[in-house]
Amino acid sequence: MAVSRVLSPPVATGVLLVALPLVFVSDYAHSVLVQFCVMLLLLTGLDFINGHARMISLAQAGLYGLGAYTAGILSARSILPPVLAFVCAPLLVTVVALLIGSASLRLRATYFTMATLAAGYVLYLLFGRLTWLTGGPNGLLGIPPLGEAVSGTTAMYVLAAALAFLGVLVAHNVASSRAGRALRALGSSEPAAVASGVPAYRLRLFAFGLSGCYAGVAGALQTFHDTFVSPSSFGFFTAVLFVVGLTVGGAGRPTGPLIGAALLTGLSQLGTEYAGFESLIVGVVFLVAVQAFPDGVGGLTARLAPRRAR
Amino acid sequence: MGGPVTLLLQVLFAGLSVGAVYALVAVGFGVVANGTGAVNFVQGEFVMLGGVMAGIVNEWLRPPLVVSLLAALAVGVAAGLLTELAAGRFSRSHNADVITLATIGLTLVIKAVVLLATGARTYQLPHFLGEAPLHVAGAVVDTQALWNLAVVVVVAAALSAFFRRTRRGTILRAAADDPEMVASLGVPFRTTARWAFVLAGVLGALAGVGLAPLSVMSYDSGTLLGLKGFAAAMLGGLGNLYGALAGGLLLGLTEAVVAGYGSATYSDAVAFVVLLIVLFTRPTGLFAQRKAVRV
Repeated sequence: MAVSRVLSPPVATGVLLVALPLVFVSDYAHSVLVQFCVMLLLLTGLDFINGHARMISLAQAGLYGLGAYTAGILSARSILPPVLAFVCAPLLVTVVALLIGSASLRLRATYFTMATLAAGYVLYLLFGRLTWLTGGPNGLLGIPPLGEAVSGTTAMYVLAAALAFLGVLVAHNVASSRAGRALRALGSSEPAAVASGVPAYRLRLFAFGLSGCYAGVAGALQTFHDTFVSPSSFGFFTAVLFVVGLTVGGAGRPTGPLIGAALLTGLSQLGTEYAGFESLIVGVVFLVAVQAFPDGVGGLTARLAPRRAR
Repeated sequence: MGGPVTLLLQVLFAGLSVGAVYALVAVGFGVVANGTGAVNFVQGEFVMLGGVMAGIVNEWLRPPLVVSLLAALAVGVAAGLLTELAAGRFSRSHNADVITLATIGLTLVIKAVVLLATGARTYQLPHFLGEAPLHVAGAVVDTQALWNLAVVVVVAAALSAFFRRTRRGTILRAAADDPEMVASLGVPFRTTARWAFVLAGVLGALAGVGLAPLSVMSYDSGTLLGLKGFAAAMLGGLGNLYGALAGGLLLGLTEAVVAGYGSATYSDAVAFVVLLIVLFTRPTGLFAQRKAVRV
């Protein structure tokens, strides 16, 4: 009990985010760590709907892309200053997520998954096909840096780490709030939760909107880090990859997004020459994990050490 | 390019030939949804496996096309058995959501294995009814359209007979209505699931063989086809045999109309827009009885 309170997700995240860049000091390492922060934001957001509400969304990759393109287009076309473009991304993505959610959350779990898959895929197709707006398959060029204060990888990392920490903190507070508990009640038994007066649809919409907001922040971060966006990062494989990372890390468990983000960041370092092996590994791990360890790595350790669990 | 009538005919035939493939995929989705309650993500990979396998055999031995077809069907059966094994082996719960998730993982595995085995090579089959296109009222019609439509008709008749007249078909229909009842009457869930997945594998392979003369097949061809087939299945009502066939043909026609009269750039998005519209406005599909909605 005491251990878990000291190592609550925000504390653990904070320690990691401060310690890691001091251990790994190269520019390259910091760039990888920005990646880690982006993943952490994406999975923390996804955890609201996939973990707490137990409705599997496959839209996170598309929403992430929408955030990236919003920030990229607004700043590259000089419509808004980069900082405002950064702020606009999560706003727009949240609105779009609420729109997608308001229609799809009335469906049963499996059909919700397919609807989010379709919505995410439409977004992905648009990124590649609206060439006049997005630059098409070649990607969007000419994105300015975020600002003079945030130039260089290390400065970018500080921003990413601050946002990721804030994201984990907010998620932790939401999870322990009344709404968060109601959401988890809904995830474990819908009839019981509804009978206790939980407004199922509204809460799920809240969770899905939050997941969109996180995806928007993550997308904007990624855009200004790379100063480049291309559609290939937001397709079906990415959508599945996020669900895989969160599920293996432990969906709905306090440390799930953290473990998942670490795994996905590690996986992305395997390199592209092993493309076939990468999806082979991801596929097999996921196949076994969803059936044998539905609670992921976090759940597995809790099961192996039942006395210290929770 | 001919007049408006010619263009219309051209669009119709193009739509029907691809729509027939979607119809087969959609029926595959329906069979598994009825047998297990799950959405079988691997369905699209069945199509890819069938097409690629037929292509490999054809390139390697140059046998009569029937041999390639049989090889593809054999792969379909094997893939169906493997899918059931992979999606049912590690879990005791028989939960439809778990099976759905497991098939998502399996999709990645199958694609990776085919990528590692074949590289990114593409395969194609010759036309089954001769390469020379037919000319109908000035429109050029691919002979494969006729083959695909014929396959759809035969499949519809065969499946309808299977579900109505055989003991196994009756059990599968019963499982769609009340899986627990079927299990308690002594037919294990996994036996039902195995039959459903094998049927789906065969249907997918047939679709793949039908598509391979029209467009090249590679390790990457399956996913998009699977998603489009699912859209077709939802359009017709998941689990409804004739609905799935109608949904597939309708989707193929819509895509062809968008590509022919609008822009080919957006024809890939048609399926997803259709899927979203169906899910949001009429989740039971145009003809179905299954309940996708919560309340």
